[in-house]
Amino acid sequence: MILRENALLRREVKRLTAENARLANAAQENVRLRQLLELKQNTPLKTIAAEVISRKPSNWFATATINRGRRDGVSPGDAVVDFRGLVGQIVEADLLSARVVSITDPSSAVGAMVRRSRSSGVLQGQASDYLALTYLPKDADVKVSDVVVTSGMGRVIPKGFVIGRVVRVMRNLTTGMTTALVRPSVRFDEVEHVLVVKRAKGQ
Amino acid sequence: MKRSLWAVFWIFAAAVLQGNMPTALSIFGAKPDLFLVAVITYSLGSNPVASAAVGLFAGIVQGFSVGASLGSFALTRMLAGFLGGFCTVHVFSENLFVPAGSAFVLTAVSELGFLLANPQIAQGPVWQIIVGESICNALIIVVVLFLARIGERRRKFRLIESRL
Repeated sequence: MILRENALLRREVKRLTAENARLANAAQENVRLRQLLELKQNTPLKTIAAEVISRKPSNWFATATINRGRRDGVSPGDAVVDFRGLVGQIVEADLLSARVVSITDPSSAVGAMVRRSRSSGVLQGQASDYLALTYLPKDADVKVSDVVVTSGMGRVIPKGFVIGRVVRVMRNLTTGMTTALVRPSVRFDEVEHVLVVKRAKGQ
Repeated sequence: MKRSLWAVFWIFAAAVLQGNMPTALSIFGAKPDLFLVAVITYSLGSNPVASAAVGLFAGIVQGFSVGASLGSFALTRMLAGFLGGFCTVHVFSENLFVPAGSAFVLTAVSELGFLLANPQIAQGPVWQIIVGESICNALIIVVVLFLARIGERRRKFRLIESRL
């Protein structure tokens, strides 16, 4: 009798543990989706919500695939963001899916500026967890922990999306250039839900 | 023939699994390359020509999967396969540390070849990525070969028992 009750209770504990894990996961997802919804409501541009279905097929290319494609209005060049900031850019759009290249990919280059001083340059991927903000003037006003945002230069990625924070500033007196090392606010490996930001007409 | 079909199966499995590997599996920020794992595991028990052919096939599938550098993937994976087959003929032994070392070297050579063919991506901590990926691949290959040997031993025992 006690043995049977014990087995029954053990089974119940297992079931409740699994249910608890499922609910905790759902709660986390709920928070992420709420933050994404907030971003969608605060962005004046047209956006398309999407989910990452596969990421990084090679250590050399930081790319991911999302579950929205040409049929949903996604096209190459569109910016991809999540509630923490810029994730990357669409490079290829199929009918039902699209490929996103991360801002950390070495082939990626985004017009960016320091939010506090408005010093602008080009942010390049480094195949690592950091980005290099290059082409800043020698006397550019940039400090560690400054926030870097998209500058809208090149008219590809809209202006004002957070990219990350400056962690190191390197001033080269010979070339007269300043380079800032930026830690992205979004870890590409952790992105699940994103918004594809459509370019405004005429861009 | 049967081994080659298994290799093709594992290459397609790698294409599905490669993009969905958890970050916890990474060393120095680099995840294992399952295409290379499939090619090297196959090549460490086959002749150089067949291994090179499997490597070429894996490289083409990986190139399509990544959507870039198809030629570089095909050539470097073919090189890994050929050298793996060469290792089997000349240095491969029963000790599991030998295939582990071979897998490490083959991954590193293949990825260095890839970087030489694509110098534009050779930015940032490339050594960290190459070493991390090589360690990951070597560890996976050791586990795969260990399991394969246990399976083979059991199969032989069953065969002997059935004969007795």
